[in-house]
Amino acid sequence: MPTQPFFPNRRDLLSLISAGTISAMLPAKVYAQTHARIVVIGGGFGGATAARELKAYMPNAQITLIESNSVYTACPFSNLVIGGLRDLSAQRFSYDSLSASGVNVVFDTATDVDATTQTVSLSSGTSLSYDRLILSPGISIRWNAIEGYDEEASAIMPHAWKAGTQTTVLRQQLEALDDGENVILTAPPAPFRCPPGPYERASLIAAYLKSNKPRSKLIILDAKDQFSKMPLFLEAWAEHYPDHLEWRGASDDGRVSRVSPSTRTVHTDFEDLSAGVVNVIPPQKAGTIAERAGVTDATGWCPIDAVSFESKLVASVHVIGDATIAAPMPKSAFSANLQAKVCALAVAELMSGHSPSATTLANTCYSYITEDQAISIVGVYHNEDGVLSSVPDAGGISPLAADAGIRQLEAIQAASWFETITAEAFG
Amino acid sequence: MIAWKHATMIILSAAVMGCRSPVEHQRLTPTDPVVSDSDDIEAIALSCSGCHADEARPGIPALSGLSSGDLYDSLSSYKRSTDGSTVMHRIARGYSDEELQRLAEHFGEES
Repeated sequence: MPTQPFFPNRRDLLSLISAGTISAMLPAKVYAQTHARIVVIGGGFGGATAARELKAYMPNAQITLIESNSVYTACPFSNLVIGGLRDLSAQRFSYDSLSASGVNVVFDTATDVDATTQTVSLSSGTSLSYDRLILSPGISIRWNAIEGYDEEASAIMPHAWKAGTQTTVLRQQLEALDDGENVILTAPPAPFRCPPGPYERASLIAAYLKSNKPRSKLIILDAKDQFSKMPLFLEAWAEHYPDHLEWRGASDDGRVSRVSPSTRTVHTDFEDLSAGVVNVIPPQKAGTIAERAGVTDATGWCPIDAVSFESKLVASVHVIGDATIAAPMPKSAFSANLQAKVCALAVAELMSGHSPSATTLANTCYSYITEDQAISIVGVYHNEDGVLSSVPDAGGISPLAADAGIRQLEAIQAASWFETITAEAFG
Repeated sequence: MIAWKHATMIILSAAVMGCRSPVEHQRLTPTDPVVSDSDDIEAIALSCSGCHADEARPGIPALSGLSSGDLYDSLSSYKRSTDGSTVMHRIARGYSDEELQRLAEHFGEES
């Protein structure tokens, strides 16, 4: 192949300029001096992003990612799989690109953390030392918080709140449903992963029923009276699914306290309801390793300093993503990805003798309401003094009573968002 | 049917909200570290790459080619618009004019 002349693009030029001079325009930060050992546990949107960014900021540091599964199955967009609009294979991502970037990806399960000796134990029997540990453990299910809802019950009444086999089980149950049989979806109390997720799922299941099981109906039994994007969902349901979706809030006896899997029955305070398919989205807490590491408080979630995402309970351990107490920032893939980037920069600064500064963060969550229409909620946040707060008069939901074109555009943007964020996390 | 004004706003916004990945920095920047006045803008800009990639995707174009002035005008009009139809209308309101100006300078071509 003939040698090509070098025609630097704009970015190359700017980078070259900044390399030789102080450029106010392009503060390219690389902390090449540190050889720190950073361990990241959990390879979801938070952990995968954090590992990649840490390696980019600190090319000479040892960055190790511990993940139990060699293939990641993404939760965002898995409601489309449940609605029959998408194949589960589109949700799967490997860690090959992360390995190629220089991150040491270890497929193993972290079983314990010793914060005193700063070591992580793995189920294979080996252990790893760290200078800084980043936990991105996601959620774990609070089994039996709803009486009778244990792991065995989830095979009959799938939660599908961790994507993968559970997603397939729920989809297959919907396909096998007889026309005229109902579907029950139980929605959990806050806080939980993906606040608008249960209602997006309800919308897409109702869409499936409307087209394929027109005599069936979805009933949402909710432990709350308010939920994310509520006015938009209620509007969409009235427009698209008046005969196929019913929502009952906590004040209307919507809270499920007990389940009977053998008869696919759920029990509220005053009623027993049976259905052909029961999707229990149960109460949640931080992923198990967070408890082992001692970074959870009495709520089951992890208090953090929101500038560095360092645990308030254990030094040199950072927590990002769904496991954190980060409200008003929601437990979303966007939040996990952004917290990972902010945390990676903070850790690079800390390992290089600098102090991380407060900044401005944002979140965007799209939800599908039909096959080709979506709505959104956004927030902008400050993290001064390590505490997240919403920026006044910013953020909010899509306009009510908008024409279909606005909803369709947001569906197109949602699909592009998924492509971008999965590429940023998994390459 | 997507209104033209929405499409235009999104195209303009994309140019502002695109972000550089530190992955690229490591290749081309031997200094260790470069610290400048715009440190905090780089941190603020981390939010952008959650949606905006290096290449354009439907409804969310890439960052490239616009002048800083045009970028600022775009962000500023998002901020001041009462139309909340896209996420950018609602996001831009969360940033001061100075932050928008510095983001525009950070990402835009010199005009």
